Amino acid sequence: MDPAEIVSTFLRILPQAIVSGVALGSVYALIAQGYYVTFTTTETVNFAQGEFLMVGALTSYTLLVLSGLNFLVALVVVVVLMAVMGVVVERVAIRPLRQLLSVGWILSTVGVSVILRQFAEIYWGREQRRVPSIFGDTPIFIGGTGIFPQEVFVIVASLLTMAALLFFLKRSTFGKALQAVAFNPAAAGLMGINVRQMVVVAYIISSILAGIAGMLVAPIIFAHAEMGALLGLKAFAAAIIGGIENPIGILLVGIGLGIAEFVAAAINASFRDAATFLILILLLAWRPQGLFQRVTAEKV
Amino acid sequence: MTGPSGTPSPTVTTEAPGSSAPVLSVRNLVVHYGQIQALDGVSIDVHPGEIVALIGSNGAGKSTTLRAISGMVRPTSGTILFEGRNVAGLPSHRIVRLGLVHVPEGRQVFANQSVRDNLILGAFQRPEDRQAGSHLLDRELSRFPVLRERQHQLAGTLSGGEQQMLAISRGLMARPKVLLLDEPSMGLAPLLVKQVAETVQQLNAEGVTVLLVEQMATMALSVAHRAYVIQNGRVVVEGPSARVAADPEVVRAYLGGAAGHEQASSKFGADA
Amino acid sequence: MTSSFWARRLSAPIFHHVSVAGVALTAASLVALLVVPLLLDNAYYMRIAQQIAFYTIAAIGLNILVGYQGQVSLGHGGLFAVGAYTSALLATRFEVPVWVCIVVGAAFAGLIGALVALPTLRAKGPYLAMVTIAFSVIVYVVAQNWTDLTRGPEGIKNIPGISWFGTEIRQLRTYRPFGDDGLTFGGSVAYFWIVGVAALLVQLFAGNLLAGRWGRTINAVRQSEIASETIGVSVYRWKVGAFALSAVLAGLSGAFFAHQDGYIVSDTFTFNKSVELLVFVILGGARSLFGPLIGATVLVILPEYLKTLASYEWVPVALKPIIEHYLLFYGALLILFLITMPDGMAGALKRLPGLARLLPPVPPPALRPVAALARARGSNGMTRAELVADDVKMYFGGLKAVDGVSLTIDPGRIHGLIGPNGSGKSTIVNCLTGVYRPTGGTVRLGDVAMNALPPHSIAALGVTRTFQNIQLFRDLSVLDNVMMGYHLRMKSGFLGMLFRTRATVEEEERFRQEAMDLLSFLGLASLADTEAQSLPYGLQRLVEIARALALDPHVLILDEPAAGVPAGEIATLSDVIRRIRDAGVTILVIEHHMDLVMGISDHVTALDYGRKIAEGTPEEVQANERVIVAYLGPKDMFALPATEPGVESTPTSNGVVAR
Repeated sequence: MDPAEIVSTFLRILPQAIVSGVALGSVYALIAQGYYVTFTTTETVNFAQGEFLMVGALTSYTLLVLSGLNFLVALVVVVVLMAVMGVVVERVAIRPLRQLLSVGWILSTVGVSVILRQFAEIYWGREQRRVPSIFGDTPIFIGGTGIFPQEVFVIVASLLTMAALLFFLKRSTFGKALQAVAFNPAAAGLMGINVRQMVVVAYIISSILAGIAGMLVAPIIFAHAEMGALLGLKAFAAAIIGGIENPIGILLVGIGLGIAEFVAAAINASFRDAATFLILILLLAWRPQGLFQRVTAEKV
Repeated sequence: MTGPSGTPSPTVTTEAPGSSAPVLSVRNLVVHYGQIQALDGVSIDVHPGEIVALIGSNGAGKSTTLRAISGMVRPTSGTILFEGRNVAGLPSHRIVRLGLVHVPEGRQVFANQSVRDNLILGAFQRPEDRQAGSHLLDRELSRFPVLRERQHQLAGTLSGGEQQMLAISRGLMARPKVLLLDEPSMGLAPLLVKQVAETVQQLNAEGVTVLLVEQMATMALSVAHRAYVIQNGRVVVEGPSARVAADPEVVRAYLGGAAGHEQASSKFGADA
Repeated sequence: MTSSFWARRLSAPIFHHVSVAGVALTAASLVALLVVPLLLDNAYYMRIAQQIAFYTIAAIGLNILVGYQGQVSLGHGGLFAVGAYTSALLATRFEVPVWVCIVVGAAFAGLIGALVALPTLRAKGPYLAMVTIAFSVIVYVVAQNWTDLTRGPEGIKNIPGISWFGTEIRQLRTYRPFGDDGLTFGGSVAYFWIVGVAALLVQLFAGNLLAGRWGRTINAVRQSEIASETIGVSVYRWKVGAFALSAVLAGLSGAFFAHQDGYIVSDTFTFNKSVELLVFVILGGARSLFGPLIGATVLVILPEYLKTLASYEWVPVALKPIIEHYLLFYGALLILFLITMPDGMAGALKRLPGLARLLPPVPPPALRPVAALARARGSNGMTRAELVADDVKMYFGGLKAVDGVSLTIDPGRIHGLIGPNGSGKSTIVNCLTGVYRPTGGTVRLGDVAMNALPPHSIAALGVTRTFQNIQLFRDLSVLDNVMMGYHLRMKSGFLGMLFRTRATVEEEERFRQEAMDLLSFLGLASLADTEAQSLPYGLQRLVEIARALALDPHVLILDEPAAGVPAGEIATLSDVIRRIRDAGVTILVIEHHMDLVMGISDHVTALDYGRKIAEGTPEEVQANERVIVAYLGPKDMFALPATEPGVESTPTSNGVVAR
């Protein structure tokens, strides 16, 4: 192909790549907000976050396709399921391992992810499941670019959810208490805040975010047992690069990664997954503490 | 009420304000941080309406005593009776609800939230006090005018002195029966330290019982009714603050025993 | 044979100073490896045995990294894959002899591991985990998609097996070395011998490394990077080294895997492989010598057992799929063990009462306790210089922690440094030891400027320190803690430690004796083999001082040595510090405990708000008005209540009043 053709192809697919990229990226950002909430309150993250998304997606498949339930009802069921799973993972995989100040929680949440993946394979099998979009699957064409209504819905819904999260954290007393626990748990206790409860709340929020992300993304990507692994990892990459204590940074980087991924896919489809991780490795090599992180020295 | 040189002096009455039963009574408190013993049997009483000072040099165990009382650390043994009920070992969030409020060392305001939000968090356990129109919130915003001025600013942008005022007001939002003040003078310029002393007296006049921990002995003794001196995890001197101020033992508690030489007038309270 | 026979130490290559019991165990293992397969001679069992063998190799490597060195790696599946593909490609594309392919595969995996580790090992905890996961995923994606090279999911076929005396091993049906009537065995037995002996050698060499200085250092780095730096360990290099070594072993394992069946597909090398390897280590017992072997054995057999179980009639149909998904069990066991049995099956076995009697621990060789310190300190040829801070400033943004402090610590004296909270004492000490780089002014030892030097270089110059929060290597014995202090002076190299050469072992013994001398000097000889964290706090403090002394410092900086030490042990501490000064070491003591610092110091400096406010003998400083005001507050600001003449306050019943 001569250069002119390459450029024109590139320009032709660019709008599509951007829309799809923003949709995917906002999902990354949504998942990553979950990492932000738990990391700031507990300095831990749920390495099974991607699998929580997968359970959300496959559950929505079961509820919407097999049981024919209404979307809102399915949403409520998924949210409740996620909340319960969040409580369990905090109690079983996080709390017992935190007191040792070790990184054992990394291994235990990885264990949770393995268990969830295996259960999903057993219950739903390995096939990819199609979840129809409630807006239909016909693309809308705007100036030559095809956009799926679901993608627009994903962008809008993710942004709304993140806005709601931020509003909750900044405006509600509960949210302020959560921030207080993140900032200084001992002082938060002196305000009468039950720190342990707040930690559980953080995990509930994080899990619900993953479940919602799963329901949103299922119609775009086929729902299957392996879908969560890569999504969860890329979202974590977004969190680290954007600064795990910086929700706006996470949003921007998440969307950026989504766009970068689609552009990379347009160039060479096979290596789109590798691209994100390569960026991550290079970035952490340059700045081990992430892009926007404040560096805290150890007091000796 | 002012003393001879125009500076405020403690409300001196013929009888100690707390001749009634103590509202807070600590007995034989032993605290360890891991293997390190921080307190070796500390006993303290605070009567209603009093200002009691707990002084001593750095590392003596003063802050540890407050932390054990407020539940930030779990004592190894000993009792902490608050209004007759043993609260030793309870988690902080439950102790606050009982009316025992700790303004921690180093202020520890929530720097990434606004002044107003800090106050609101102080009233976390009483929804009616955190509402926008709450009388208590209004009172505390007015106590130190600078707080009302800067109520929407991030607490981290306040100066040290302003943060101290915020921390105290935040503590008051919890409607304390007994206020535990942990080294309020730390890191403050002398003029601000004076202001803190005046604030403590003002609070006491409003009816708040205060247990004041201080490294700066002079300031604490000038406002307190009674004082305890802690050294190496034990109480070594106690009594009405006037007597404690005159005791040379206090300087030795801070700077170590005299090595046989005579010390230049270490009765630091003698020339009033 | 009495127990003293088993405890006797040998003087033989590779087995220097190993007890007879140790050699016997090794020999017995080798014999078992060779003989047992001949008795079983079942291809299915041999295959499992081969798997156990090469997974043990990978697990030993990962244990060194995760267990001993404390770094989380979720990427060793990727390194396993690198070893497998490298070996397979060299053998199929370039027809290199298989032995060579395997070695190159391992080496190349080590190289890749080092390349990944070099830039990323400064990241910690979850970030490092993330990088290793990312690496694992990238390797999988490349394997899956770069089909020209790896043939992706279709896989590389017909990978030649190792050749066994001329015949390719998988073609070997029966081998009769002793003629037609003698012993016969198939190729699978032969391959097991190869992989099994390799595993035995890896276990042996790993044991050599971990039992000696290399293992001690890796352990120390895990427990306190700061203290390790202070002792002169270049922490970063050791971490990369441990990572590279574990990568080599993972690659070796992968190479053996590739030649086992002669067929590899990219689907094998998912992230799950990394998790599997970790589960072997955790379940077997992290930081245990035989944990990897136990873990690999149990967890390779488990899926096979589960498959058999699932085929039984009496198992309910609903449960069958659960049983077949053995990874489910891996995940659940991982969590279970992390919470309930962090030291794994090896740890549980050690705690079985019967076993302890069966294998009593072999006591280390006896040392001669010495009453006094034989060598004079500071007599190693360098002149004793004074430690000087010259108008040092340390600003953190707007905060002036130290604002122009000048301090001279003369050789051979005890110099005390006091000051209230926030006066800058700790900051100036951090400037003197390289933890901070001063914003202004100079820090020097004699004529040598130290401003820009990192902590381990300053340690090498002869200035060493202890910490406010004791930074002992908690899991190591008292003796091993002190031995760490000799790190800079020990010369044995990696190969010497690997092969347990006579020179290495003798050097170790020499320093052990020196460490015992030092402990005796401090009165700690009887505690030499006690685990550091089990000691009372005051003694831990002394051990930390002993370790600092092992560096043979000119200047010893003690940062709040009395912190946490119970009142009754302060006198012992004072005594020890004086004896150290008498032995020729210069001492700077930063303290809040006034009785201690005033009692032992020859000279005291007092700081407040980042500036020097007084200097002189302890008595002079104690009586100094500025010092009294700094600690107790200004007298003129507060109207103190009027005193009644002649009345003293009440001494308390539980307080010490008189001095």
